[in-house]
Amino acid sequence: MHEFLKWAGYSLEAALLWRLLTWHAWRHFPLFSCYFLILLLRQGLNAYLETRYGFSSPVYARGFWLSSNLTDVWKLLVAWEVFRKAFRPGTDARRFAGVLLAATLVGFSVFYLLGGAHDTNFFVAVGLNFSLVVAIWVFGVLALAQYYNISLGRNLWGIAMGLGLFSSTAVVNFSALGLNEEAFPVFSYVRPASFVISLLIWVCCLWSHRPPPAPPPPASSLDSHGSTGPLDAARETVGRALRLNPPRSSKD
Amino acid sequence: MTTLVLMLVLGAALLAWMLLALLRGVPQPTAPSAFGRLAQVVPLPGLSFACPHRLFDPADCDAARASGTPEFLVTAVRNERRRLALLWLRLLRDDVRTLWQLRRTMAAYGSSAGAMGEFRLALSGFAAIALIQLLRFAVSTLGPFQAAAFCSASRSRVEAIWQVCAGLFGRIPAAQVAEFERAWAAAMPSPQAALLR
Repeated sequence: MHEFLKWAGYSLEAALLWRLLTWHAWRHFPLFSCYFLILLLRQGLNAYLETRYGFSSPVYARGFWLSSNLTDVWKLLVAWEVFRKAFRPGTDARRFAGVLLAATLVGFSVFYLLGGAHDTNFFVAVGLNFSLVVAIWVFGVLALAQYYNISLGRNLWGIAMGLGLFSSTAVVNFSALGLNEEAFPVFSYVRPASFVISLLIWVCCLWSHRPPPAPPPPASSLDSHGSTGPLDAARETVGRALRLNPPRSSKD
Repeated sequence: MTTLVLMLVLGAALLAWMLLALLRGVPQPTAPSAFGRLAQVVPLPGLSFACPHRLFDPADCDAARASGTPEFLVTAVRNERRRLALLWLRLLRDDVRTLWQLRRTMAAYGSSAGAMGEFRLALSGFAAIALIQLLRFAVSTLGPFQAAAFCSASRSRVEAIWQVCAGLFGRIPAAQVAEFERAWAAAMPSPQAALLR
């Protein structure tokens, strides 16, 4: 099973790298592209350390956890990219989502500083907290996009979904292992499997550049009739009273 | 220990939600044709007034005052502007009611947003009406220029309801659209009648 997950992961990573290079994904999603690059470099580093020092050496363990925490921190930047691309600047939705998500981040920072999730070791606690914040952030963005009827587009939806799935699995994984280390044999399959599923989502959704459609304007029945009825007549009255000649158009 | 249990529960809930969302697939955006078709069926005079912020902009009054226009004329213009702003807000409020009735009519044709969607739509409708009424009160008492801050907020709320309704309209089977349009035309008074109220 481990071998299958390993080779499925390699194949999907190669496919994703190929597709991202094909349509220059880094121009549209720079932080996600960097995240994927970091994942690849991390795998190379871990493979090198394992070959050089052995699986049970402290050097390998330190390299593994430091690189793991780096990717966990970078996931937060990818979540921020998802948020930034999902909501257009200057909209009410973006302001509301920004406040909500910033409050989540501050809340979890305070929670962590006050001693939350310190039952495990430092590296696991960092991974757990960052993964939880990312999962909540992605959940918040997806839920708010649905509430405001905002179309994320296939690419962004795929990035958010893969990231959210991987992060929420990491939360379950880390907290279950923190509670009971004997659960490790089960979770040694769960996290790699979730990573492979996330890769599969990314490959499917990032196969080509699919930006979201521009939101159509609301109905303009009055514009199409060329008159604004009483509003138009009243505006003319105002114009006469002012003795000014404001630009007149059906769109005013 | 307790924290880890809480995090495990929260993580599992998030994971379950993500899996459900994954099974539902990529949310399909409302087809632009649905907006166009709905715009033909439902006239929304308040929402389609393109530059409502001009009603709340004191620039021309200031310009008139600066150019030496008599004060009584400036006052008349301000009062006229107040009347226009109140008229636009009434039209916008009527748009919300029209969209609400449209949603009810569409439900009869099998296009529903589900329990949560309906709840959210109802909440949006109430929030929009409340905001518009608040703005009407502010315009009546303070004048149109002092109440400008609420203007864009109230319009964007009605736009959000409009987008949801367009999404629901797109779900009505093509064979039933003509029948729906007839039923809607019979149920709704003409926009001219609404303006004359």
